[in-house]
Amino acid sequence: MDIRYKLLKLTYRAKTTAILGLAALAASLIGCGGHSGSTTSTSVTQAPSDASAIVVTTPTLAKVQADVAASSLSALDKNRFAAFIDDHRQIPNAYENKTVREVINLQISYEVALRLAAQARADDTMHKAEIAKLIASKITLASEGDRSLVLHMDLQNLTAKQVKNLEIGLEFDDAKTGTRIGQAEVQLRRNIAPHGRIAFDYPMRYIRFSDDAGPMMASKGKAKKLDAQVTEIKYTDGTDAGFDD
Amino acid sequence: MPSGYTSSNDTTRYAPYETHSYTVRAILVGWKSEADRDYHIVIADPNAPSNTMIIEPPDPTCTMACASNFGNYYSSVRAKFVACFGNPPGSFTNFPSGVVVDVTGVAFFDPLHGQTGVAPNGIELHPLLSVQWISGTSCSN
Repeated sequence: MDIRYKLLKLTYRAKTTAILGLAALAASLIGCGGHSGSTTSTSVTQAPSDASAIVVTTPTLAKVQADVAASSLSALDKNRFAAFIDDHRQIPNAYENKTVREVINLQISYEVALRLAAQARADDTMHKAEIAKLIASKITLASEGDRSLVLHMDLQNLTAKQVKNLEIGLEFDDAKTGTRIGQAEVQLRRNIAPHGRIAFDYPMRYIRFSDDAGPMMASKGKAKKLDAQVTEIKYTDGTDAGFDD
Repeated sequence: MPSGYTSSNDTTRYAPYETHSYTVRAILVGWKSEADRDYHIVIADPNAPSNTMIIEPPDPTCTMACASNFGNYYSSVRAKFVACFGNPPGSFTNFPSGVVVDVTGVAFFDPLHGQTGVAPNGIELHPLLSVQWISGTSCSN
């Protein structure tokens, strides 16, 4: 996604507003009916209860836990509160001086995180399957030099449309440890005829790996695993497939 | 969406929102390093944690980001995340639970295209300019 830095340079005038809640920020921006200013969040997620408003402190933690357990909060929220406290014994500032509701919300945000991560994995799998129906790609590391490497690309258009542009995500991992060495994105402007196939060498300077350039140079000659994925295809008829970031 | 914003190739920053920076208090949800090397970070509203939005400290070495003269901000905020959580994963991964932050960045409306954790109206803080650890972590500011 082109994020428009060029014009940002010309027009950006930093003016930091008061701290906003996310809901307030979104509300102030959705529909352009709001304003950027000292708005505060007004969203409420649960009906208030006495236990929700109790402030958690380390000296009173045991009593707060007992009060929560005996409260009218839902069983789910009681479990959330207990789980968060148990998980943060070593980081008491995570709950210190927060209300019970705030602690419960922290646990809910973690549940949201796990859900989003699972959904992202499923989306990635589906996306790769969809792209695989459109283009067959075999991308390998052909050679490495002091300042650049060469990829060999073998691309076969599986559709009846002419390919105009491709975006390819590259990730090199250490073959032994599996840790990532370098990541880069290739934007390829190559016409590939309907059902056509092209194969070519593609040189890349290490600087294309940005702040991974150093680790990439240092990994020269070492065993690496390359994960190369076509992430977006643009056709000459104006249609596209896949997604960019 | 701001009036006139119709294309993902639109390079205009729309006033007033996209020419101002905002600071929000939020819970860290998850992150990944995108193919374009921006860090894609999702945050949640502490008062309504199912409400999420995206914040992105961009790759400071890419051509257009460098041209903005804010590259040192991007480098600094990325370094703080890496110092606290290690290198960002290649696929979306949750943060440890309970990390509360104040983040400051310039508003940006991204067209909706299935981004993980995107706000309903596509609003992002992109570029992200700073982060302050508030609670839930021993990382230092």
